[in-house]
Amino acid sequence: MNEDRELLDFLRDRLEGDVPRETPRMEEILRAAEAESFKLAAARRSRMLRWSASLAAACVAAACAFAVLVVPSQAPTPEATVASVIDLLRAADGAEEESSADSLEEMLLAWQDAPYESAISGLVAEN
Amino acid sequence: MEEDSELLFAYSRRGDVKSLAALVRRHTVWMQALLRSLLPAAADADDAFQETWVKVIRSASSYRGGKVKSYLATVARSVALDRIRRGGRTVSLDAEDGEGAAVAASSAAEGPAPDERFESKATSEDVRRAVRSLPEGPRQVLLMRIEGDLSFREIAAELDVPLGTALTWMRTATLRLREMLGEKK
Repeated sequence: MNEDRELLDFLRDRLEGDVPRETPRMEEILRAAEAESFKLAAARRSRMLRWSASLAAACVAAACAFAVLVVPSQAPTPEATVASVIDLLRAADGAEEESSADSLEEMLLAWQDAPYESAISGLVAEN
Repeated sequence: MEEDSELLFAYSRRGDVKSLAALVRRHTVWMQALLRSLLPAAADADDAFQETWVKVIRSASSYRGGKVKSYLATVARSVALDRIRRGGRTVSLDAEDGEGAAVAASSAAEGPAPDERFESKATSEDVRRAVRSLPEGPRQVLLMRIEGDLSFREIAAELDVPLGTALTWMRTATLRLREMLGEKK
């Protein structure tokens, strides 16, 4: 299609010819731009805060996971803990030496008997 | 000189109002010409100019690139048409619209050949009046072509009409304007 370039140039020239060169309502437009820019900046800040909160939560989760999964492997086993407690109880009940080398069952039996032994020896001493 | 898209991105991404001001100044003349061709009252055109930029500012964050001038022309046209509709005038882009079809038929039959040399002493106001007197479809295509730098394919997509209709409307507009303005020789 022949676009009639000459006519279009003429029309553009005339349509733009007497239009004022200064921008109308520039102040209002820039005020709107500043307000919108402020809103956008606030939205960006809010996104940043949400992102920081998510990051902090992820760090806490990672720390908890480390504490649950990694730290227990270096802690004493339940058996060792019970053995230590029994040793302490035995010591409190008057046992002379620690029996950590004994099996847990033997230690428990020995500790259970200890009160009776000390009660009997107490009665014997009184009588 | 910075590209239009760089200025718009500078505003939408960094809130740089100075870049936006530069963009507004750069696009003042043609946009005013476009709006004054659609809206007869200068005050209306100024209101539409402000409204166009406020719309552009509010949607700047969703701008993803592309021809800025075409984008601005599309927004300006939409603002002007809204104002015309609010003012009570019916806007029809239908090719079968009575006035448009009649003009298209008569122009195609009797008008001068498009490649005929064009000379006219018509003033800016004569041209604006002649453009305003065009049926809606031809007027939109003509203005989008002159001031919006849009291709016919883009114009057809924007107006939601087949490419052939956009081309016919352009031919109607140029023949009709030749007829109206060429007489002033």
